[in-house]
Amino acid sequence: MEEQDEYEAWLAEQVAANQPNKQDDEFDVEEDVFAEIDAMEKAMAEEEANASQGEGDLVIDEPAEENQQESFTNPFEESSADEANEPAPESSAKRKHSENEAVEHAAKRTRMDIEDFLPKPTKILRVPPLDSDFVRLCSEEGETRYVRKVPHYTHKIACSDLDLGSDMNLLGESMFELKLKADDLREEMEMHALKIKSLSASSGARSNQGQTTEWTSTYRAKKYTELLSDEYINRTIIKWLKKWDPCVFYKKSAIAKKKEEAQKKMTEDEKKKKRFKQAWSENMAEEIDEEDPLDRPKMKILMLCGAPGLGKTTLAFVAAKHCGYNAVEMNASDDRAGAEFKRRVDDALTNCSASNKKPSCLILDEIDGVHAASAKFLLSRIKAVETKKKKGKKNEVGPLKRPIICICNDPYVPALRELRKEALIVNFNGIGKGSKLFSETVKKDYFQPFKDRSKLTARLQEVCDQNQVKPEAGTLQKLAEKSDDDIRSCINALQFLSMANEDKSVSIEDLSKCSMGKDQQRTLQYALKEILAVGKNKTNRLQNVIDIARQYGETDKLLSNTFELCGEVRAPSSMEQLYKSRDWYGWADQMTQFVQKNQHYALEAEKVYAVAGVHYNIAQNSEVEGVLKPQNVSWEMRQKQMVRENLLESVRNGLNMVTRKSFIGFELINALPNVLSMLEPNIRSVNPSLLSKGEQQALQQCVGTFVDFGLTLKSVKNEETMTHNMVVEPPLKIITSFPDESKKAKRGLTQQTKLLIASEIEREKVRRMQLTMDRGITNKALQDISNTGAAVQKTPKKNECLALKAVIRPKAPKVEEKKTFRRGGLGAFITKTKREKPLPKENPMDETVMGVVEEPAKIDPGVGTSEVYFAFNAGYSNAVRQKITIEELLKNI
Amino acid sequence: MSLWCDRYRPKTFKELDYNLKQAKQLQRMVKEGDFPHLLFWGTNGAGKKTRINCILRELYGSGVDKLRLERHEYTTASNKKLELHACASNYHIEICPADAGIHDRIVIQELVKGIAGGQSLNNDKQKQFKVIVITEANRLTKDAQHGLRRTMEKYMSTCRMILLSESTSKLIPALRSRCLGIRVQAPSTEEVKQCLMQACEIERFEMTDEQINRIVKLSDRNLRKALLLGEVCKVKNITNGDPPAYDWEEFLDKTGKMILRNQSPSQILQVRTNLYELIVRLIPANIIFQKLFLQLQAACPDIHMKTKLAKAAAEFEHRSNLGSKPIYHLEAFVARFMADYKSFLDEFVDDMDEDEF
Repeated sequence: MEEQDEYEAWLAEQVAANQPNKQDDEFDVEEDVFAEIDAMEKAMAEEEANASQGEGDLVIDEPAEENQQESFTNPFEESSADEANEPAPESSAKRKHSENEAVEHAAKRTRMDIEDFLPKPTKILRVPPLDSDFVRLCSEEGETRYVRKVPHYTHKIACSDLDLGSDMNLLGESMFELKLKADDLREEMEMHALKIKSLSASSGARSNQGQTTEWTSTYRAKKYTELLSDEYINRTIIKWLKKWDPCVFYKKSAIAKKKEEAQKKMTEDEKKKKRFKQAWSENMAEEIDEEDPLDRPKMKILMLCGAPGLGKTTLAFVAAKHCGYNAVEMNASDDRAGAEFKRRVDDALTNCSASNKKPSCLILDEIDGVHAASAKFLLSRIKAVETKKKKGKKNEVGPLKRPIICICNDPYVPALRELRKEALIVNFNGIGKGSKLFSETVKKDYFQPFKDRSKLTARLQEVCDQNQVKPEAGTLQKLAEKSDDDIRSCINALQFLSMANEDKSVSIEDLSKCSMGKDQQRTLQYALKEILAVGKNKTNRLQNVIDIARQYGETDKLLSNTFELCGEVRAPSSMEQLYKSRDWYGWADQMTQFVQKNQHYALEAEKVYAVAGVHYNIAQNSEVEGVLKPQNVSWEMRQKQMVRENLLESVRNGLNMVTRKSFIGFELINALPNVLSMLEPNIRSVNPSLLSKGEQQALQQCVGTFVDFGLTLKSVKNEETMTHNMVVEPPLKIITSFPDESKKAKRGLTQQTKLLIASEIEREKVRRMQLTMDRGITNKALQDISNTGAAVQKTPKKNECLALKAVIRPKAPKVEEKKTFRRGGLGAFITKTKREKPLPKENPMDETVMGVVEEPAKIDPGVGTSEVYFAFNAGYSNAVRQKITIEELLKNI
Repeated sequence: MSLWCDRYRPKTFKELDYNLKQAKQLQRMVKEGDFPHLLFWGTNGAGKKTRINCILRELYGSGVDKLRLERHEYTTASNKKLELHACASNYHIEICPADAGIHDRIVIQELVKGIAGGQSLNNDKQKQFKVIVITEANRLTKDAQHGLRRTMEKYMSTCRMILLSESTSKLIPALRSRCLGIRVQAPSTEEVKQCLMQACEIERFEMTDEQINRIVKLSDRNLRKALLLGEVCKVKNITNGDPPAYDWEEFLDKTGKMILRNQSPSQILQVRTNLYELIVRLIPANIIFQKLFLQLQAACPDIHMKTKLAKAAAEFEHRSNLGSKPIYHLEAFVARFMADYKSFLDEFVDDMDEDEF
């Protein structure tokens, strides 16, 4: 009976494997059929391969498939069939119950059922049983099986015990019922499969528009609420877009309405205050150009800058959609040069699509790659003003009436310099954290990612859940770190990694193997290790290294990597050797330059000797342990340098002409620290009218410096304290300041002073503009006179004196009369006179020297005879009474 | 024009404060109406540009002060578009072809030909020639310099060139021979002091004599720097005390001290990070070489080592000009010095030991 037990145990096992929940060992035989059906169903539903494999197993171990079984059992039908049921020691209660059921169904049965019901020959063995008689059987295929002979009487007893109700009710349940059950089960399975399908379909539905399975586009945020970027940035953009509503949708914005109401209520005092406040309204997005006839925001375009993969494009699209626009994208893939660009921009801005009646919002992606000419064109479109439409001029386009969003990685590209002034710049620095242009501390560079990654990892987890990807704990965090918050590369990597394992699990180990845009090559790793250590092959090691370098191919990469990695290996004992290795690097560098310059590319191959030279001098004796991280320090440094170069270039181009001439080349860099400290004068933070004379001078001086260098103060949000801070823009600090632990935190200016300076800067700019305009008039006048030869031209000694514009009125009755411009009052100017003292040469800033010229007041020749002329409607008039002191004149210059 | 160095820049020969004899000579030369191509050379802040401005002023009158910014576009052989900004008046143009990097040859060829090619219309009223001021001539590539030499001769009738350079050593001999070289000597410390005091007086800012001396010493005979420092002192209201030092100079100084403190491979790596910081902040490699050399040579005990160091500095600076990655050459220089210095120190210690026995 051991065989028997063994066999039953096997069966139980088989069954248990197939249906672990339901099976009891005792029911093995009866439930076997059910189990089999079940198993097959399940297998079919799950996987074809698995199922067939399972079947195969069954066939081999138990060749009791129905067809075969018949051929085996025919001669001994009675005995073997009986036998089959015999050993099942069933609980009688259970049996009873099933019998009752069986009786109920008995009438419905057909013969077919009974035939189906033939018992399974489970007593077929592969080896002859030892303890009892057996019959040897042979199948058609030549396989031999043995069937046990069982004494007849046992069978009889068993039969008489069992056969109570129905003739053939050997199983606990009738076959019919079993079939019904199986049908039910099958149905259930089908339902389940259907459910799974629909489920996956629904999760895929988000993406399935273009049948794409690429996750980065699938999981691109579609709604405002799905955005990962910082709420502050999102809001700024939405706010800005909303500012266009009055222009685009012809409805007044809530703020404008409020303002109007408030203005009605306001008393004079309040108005003044308001104006003061408005002057330094810190959020540029808030500002509406009040003089603009079209109610457009002050900043006509929006510039989103930030590292790749942070979701700039997504944000732009979502925001545009959110505000009811139809986003029209132009990116680097489109032709962006010359006429084509113009055509496309104009199309986008003036037309709207036939199917979609929404106004369009132009999104210029990757604008940092655009040509200067195209950027210029864009600028001209922004600045275009309403002109009366002339017939015949078809090309004439009206002012900009649609929002434009520009997206770029580096806002300091020279081509964008002019555009930057017109743009509301939003810096996109990380996910779920504040934006800040350039951090105060030097160590953080401006593309430094932020540390809080919870929002990003949460989104990644979501993606994983929807795709049944099971990442190991901490993997997502690591992934985010590794990619520097680059969402796109995170999702890409995730998709790739999930393919690696069948169960879609992602482990940290997988992650470390995965490359994320950064080059990691086994061969590089291998080559580096070989170069940095003396291998086993000591005799011919130089040749070995040369071969490896040749195989690897990119000698420059090897060199720069070993250069950065030489801290990882044990350094040579003598400094002389160290020097020699550095010498080789220098040699290779010269070589590279030479090859590139003279295009002797054949020499490129010789650079491998530098690798050998380095190896010879710095390789350590033992093998390098651990993983050598590929370095790109020099590349990073180059990038940083480029950022600063662009910055400096933009500063240089923003310089006032004279300043520009005097700071050439390195002198500008050299002067920057001084200039920066000049931008922080010693001024108490009090009301401007309370400043002492010295302070006022200092303020003026500081503002002058700001304007000369084309700098401004810009309000930037501080992420830690959530306050706004005024910083110098462009951020020169990153050029001038060095990382230094010992640096004491310098106390800067107070916020109020900065605000004051900022407003003064704007005022000074206007003043200068006016000045150049005036000067234009002056020069014209001077020319007129010199042409007529009526007067001798007197050139002022100092430029500052020019400000006082000694002008001779073109058709003045008295030829020697000099004129002096004056702004304010009638917006006019006055002339004078022989009596005016010559101005002090050196001291244009000083007002006190001048004293008051009293003569005009004293003499007062009466209306119409005064020698003081005012500009009035295009001409001049002296029929104005007004007492004026020289001091007043100077004050307004 | 609120910076002192702009505001108090002399506009005519009469206003110049130093190198007066040379100024007289120049003035006379210009008065003659014609002069050869000029090459002004001298250190930064010596007053080269001021003198050129005086010449232009003398030649054309106040018209040269009416500057405008011109943008020129060029296309390189590889069809890359270049943009160059130039200050120009009706009579002269000031360009810095070196800004175009390796493409400066094209700038020279196109621009100079364009300007020099045109004749002025009314010759009786104006001078017959325009002036082209080429700043930072020392940064011109060899190609550009060769491009310049023929142009200079060819267009002699319509234009004069004034080259500005820090030193003549970086100009090819052919160019040097075509120009009248004029060296602008840096003002003596006394002269710097004089100028500074003048400016302070006009600005009504009183500094102690000590303070003025300090600034003058810091400025290293660079008048521009002296004026800038003076202005900073005024803004910060420092009447007696150190004016804020330049961060990069401080940093470089610290780096030099690191080199002297300890000579080991690990130290070299630390020095390297410092050098990287400097390069990233756009401090040119040759200035780093220069300053480092000056600092290190002071620590050298004997003349042999000094000459050795000078030779190494010159050698590596040259190489860094030939190459493209200054960090390699700077570090090689540092390694060279460390190796020498260490062996010297070791010998010194050995000698001491022997003496003891």
